[in-house]
Amino acid sequence: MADENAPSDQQITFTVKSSSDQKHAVTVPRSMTVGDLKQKLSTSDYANIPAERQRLIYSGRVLKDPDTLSTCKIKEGNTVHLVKGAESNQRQNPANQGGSAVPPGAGGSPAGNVPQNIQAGTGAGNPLAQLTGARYAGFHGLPGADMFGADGGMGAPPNPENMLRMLEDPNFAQQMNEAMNNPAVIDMLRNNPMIRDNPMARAAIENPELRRMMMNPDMIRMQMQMQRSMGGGAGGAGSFPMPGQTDNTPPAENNSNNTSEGQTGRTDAPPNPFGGAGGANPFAALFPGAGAGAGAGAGAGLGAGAGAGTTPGQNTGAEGAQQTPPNPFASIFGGGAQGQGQGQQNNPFQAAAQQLMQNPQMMQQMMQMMGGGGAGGAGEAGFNPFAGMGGMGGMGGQGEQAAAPDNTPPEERYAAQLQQLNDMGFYEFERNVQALRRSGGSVQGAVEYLLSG
Amino acid sequence: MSAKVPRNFRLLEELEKGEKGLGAEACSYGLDEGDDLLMTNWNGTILGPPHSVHENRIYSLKIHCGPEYPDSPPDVTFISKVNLPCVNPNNGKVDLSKLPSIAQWKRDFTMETVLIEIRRNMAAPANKKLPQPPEGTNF
Repeated sequence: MADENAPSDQQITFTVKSSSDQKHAVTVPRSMTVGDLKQKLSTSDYANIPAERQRLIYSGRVLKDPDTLSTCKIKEGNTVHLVKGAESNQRQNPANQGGSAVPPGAGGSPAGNVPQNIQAGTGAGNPLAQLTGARYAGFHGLPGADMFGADGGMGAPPNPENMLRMLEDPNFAQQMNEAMNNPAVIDMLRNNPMIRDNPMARAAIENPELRRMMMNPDMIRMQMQMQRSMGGGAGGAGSFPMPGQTDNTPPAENNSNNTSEGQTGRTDAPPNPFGGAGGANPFAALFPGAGAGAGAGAGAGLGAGAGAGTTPGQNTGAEGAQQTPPNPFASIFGGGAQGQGQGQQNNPFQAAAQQLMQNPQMMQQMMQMMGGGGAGGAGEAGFNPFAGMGGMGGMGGQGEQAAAPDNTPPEERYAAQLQQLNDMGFYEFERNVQALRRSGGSVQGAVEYLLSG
Repeated sequence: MSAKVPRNFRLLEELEKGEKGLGAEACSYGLDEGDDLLMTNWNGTILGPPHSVHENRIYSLKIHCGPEYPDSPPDVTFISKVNLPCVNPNNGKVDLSKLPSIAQWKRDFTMETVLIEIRRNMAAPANKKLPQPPEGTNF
């Protein structure tokens, strides 16, 4: 305390102790700012950590860049701790350092290094691209990780064989799991404006069950099998928009194909499993009413949606979906599966999540439709863990149906989230429900609300 | 009975240890106001333990050593938001009685003991996966 009055250009010598137990003796003028000190420490003579990732701690305080050493009251012989700062999961992106779009010094924001704006980068608008892109390439050394998507450096998506082989790999599953369990990734997904502004999509992301399914290799495999049996159109890989693929224009060829099929009553149906081949299709059960409404549904889903709202075929489809509650998937895949244009994109999840996110107009249309047809699906899905998705089931439905108010009691609607909150140690039921209501079903938001009292 | 170290000497000792970085790596502490002659208010930081949700995070705390310290434990309060069973979710106050190893306060426990125990509690299997509020938010 005695040397507080010392002239500010006086040199002081102190120790910087980094987390790897290295000690650096530093002699600098007292007037130096913390920011400058970090610059100095960032060189290979010292800690060799980029300045923006350094955190200096002295005397129980995190030092701020603009402060000078004398205002921090660092004294001769004292020790400053240097910590490699919260580059939120360095384990996860060893290959991506410097590549991620992080403004240096974004320290205060949650998960500092995760690109908040998903549009930055190659996988524009596609949240899943971030999951499979370069950040995971080389991680676990999984076979042929570079086959993934655009930022892996390859233009074309992987061919189905490779894809299948990869799916067999337990590492892949593990990796997916890890990604899905990583709060940063979820945050990233959540912060995508497309998801943030859409309560349904948000619910889907919030729901761990659904996330797991979305990333489930079996699910993807199923999709690929379907895609194979589909054969026609742009065929194989082309019609399967991989995560990471940046091209978001639907293959026109395929599109027109489906539409015309719908209009002609599926005269040349065989290549399309949705049109008539229902019996042979192992997934027919997942798409109730597929036989009835598929043609029109496929056409409608591809952007013609709004206009097609009154097509009889589609009505049938939507009804079919609502009449088959026993199948737990029905409410997810049901009307949505058809209306949503499954002729084009075969995986209902992928389709719903991805195609929509890539196409803002479609998103809007969906939102409008959800107001109408969606209500039926949601009401029925009451006990379904996928209740959040339930609304989507009906989204292909006709627009003219009046929107029924959602009467599901909150404890049912938020069953999964409540369970989660309970697991976290929030036991006050009423408060939990209130918090979930306020946060629109977001567990994260609810936790924040609960914590802030 | 051995002589008791008076509060002031004890705190000066801790201050030196904190400033010189002689203690454990993962915790740091020091006086809030350098000219606080009573050495009542302190700052502390805890580095989130590795292999937990806290990894790479830095938590700031306030430590208040009342006139009875070290006969009675200090008041410890989180400034950074954290979700831990031993921390009051409304004001960040640490309930030391929920930390088994220091629930029974002993005179030779120090602020460092407290910080280290809190950190250990963060890394406990039951707590290391608890969802945490975004980094940088404060109580």
